[in-house]
Amino acid sequence: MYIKVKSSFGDGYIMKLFLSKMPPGGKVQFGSEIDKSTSVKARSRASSYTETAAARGYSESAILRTRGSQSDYDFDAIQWLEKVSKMGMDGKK
Amino acid sequence: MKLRLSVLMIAISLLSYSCRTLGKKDSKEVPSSIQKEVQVGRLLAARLAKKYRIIRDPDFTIYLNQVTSRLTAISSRQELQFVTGILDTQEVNAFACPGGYIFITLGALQKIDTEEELAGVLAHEISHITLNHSGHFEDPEPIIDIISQLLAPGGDIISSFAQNAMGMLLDELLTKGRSKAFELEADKAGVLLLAELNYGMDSYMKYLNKLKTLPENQTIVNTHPPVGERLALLERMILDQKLQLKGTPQKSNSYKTHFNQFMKGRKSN
Repeated sequence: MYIKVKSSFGDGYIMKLFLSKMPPGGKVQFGSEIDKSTSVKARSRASSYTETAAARGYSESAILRTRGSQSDYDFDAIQWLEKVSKMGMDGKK
Repeated sequence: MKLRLSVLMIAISLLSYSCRTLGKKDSKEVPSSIQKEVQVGRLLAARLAKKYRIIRDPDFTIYLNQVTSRLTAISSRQELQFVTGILDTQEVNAFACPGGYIFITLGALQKIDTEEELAGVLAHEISHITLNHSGHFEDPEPIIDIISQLLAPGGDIISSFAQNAMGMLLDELLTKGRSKAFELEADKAGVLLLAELNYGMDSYMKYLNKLKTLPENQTIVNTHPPVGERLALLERMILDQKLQLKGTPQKSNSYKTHFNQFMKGRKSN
């Protein structure tokens, strides 16, 4: 549960739970704010189709439909959840 | 000849694209493995949402996310945005998907009596994510992924890597369970997280005690180590590390207030 760390500040033990591999600042963004999913954003450089589709306002489920997998996923519910969770963090009701 | 030339051109552009992508490394830039983790987690979350249906009650969901963000505020995964949702099933369970997606079932919420118990369940799930219990998400064949993206008629946002990873994780969550070591580690890390925020560690143990009487057809019974073993391990850790079992007493039971309102809303709908 604890790991030994060496640093210029001093050596010691820290809980694994609190040891970050990332420097503070970077954050993975969800798509709910800009109505464009993380998946779409991550893929946009590789596939102009998905970017165009997202820009035209197609939902992720609609894009997935091109592959016939829509019955397995509910991205609309996830987008709703991301939006509501952000409202909670901003202290809005 | 023309075909060969086109294939060569595509290969060169792909190589230069991937070199540019791999070469860029800002210290604050989120690494691709974490982007991938969120992608796979989001896919898994969308799958669970389809299987069980997410209950869209904004007020109660906001409350759950406020408790979640209190716990994640001190976790090491600051690059993730944690999200908690309610699954519409009487099964008593909670799920942690990579990338920060957490789900708690209606059945589990009905077993919970206080905010401390809720925090205990969430802390266990947060620990699974923080301690990378779903693994690391390095795409072994990014070039193949890019080629398949380019060649797919009509496009495709799910890479084969993400789809395979998601399939394995779904199996782990619903059928096989995570390894026993990971479950016990998440229990220990979870109660330590509770202690950091002055929530009582005993609250999580109270919740675990309620799971002792669950019937065997419940997924949690088959995907987690026996409750008795989990409780014994926590008791030993608290004793060994001389930890404070009780937290700061809560002035009011905000969980019950929020939960009762939520249930009232469900009945009236």
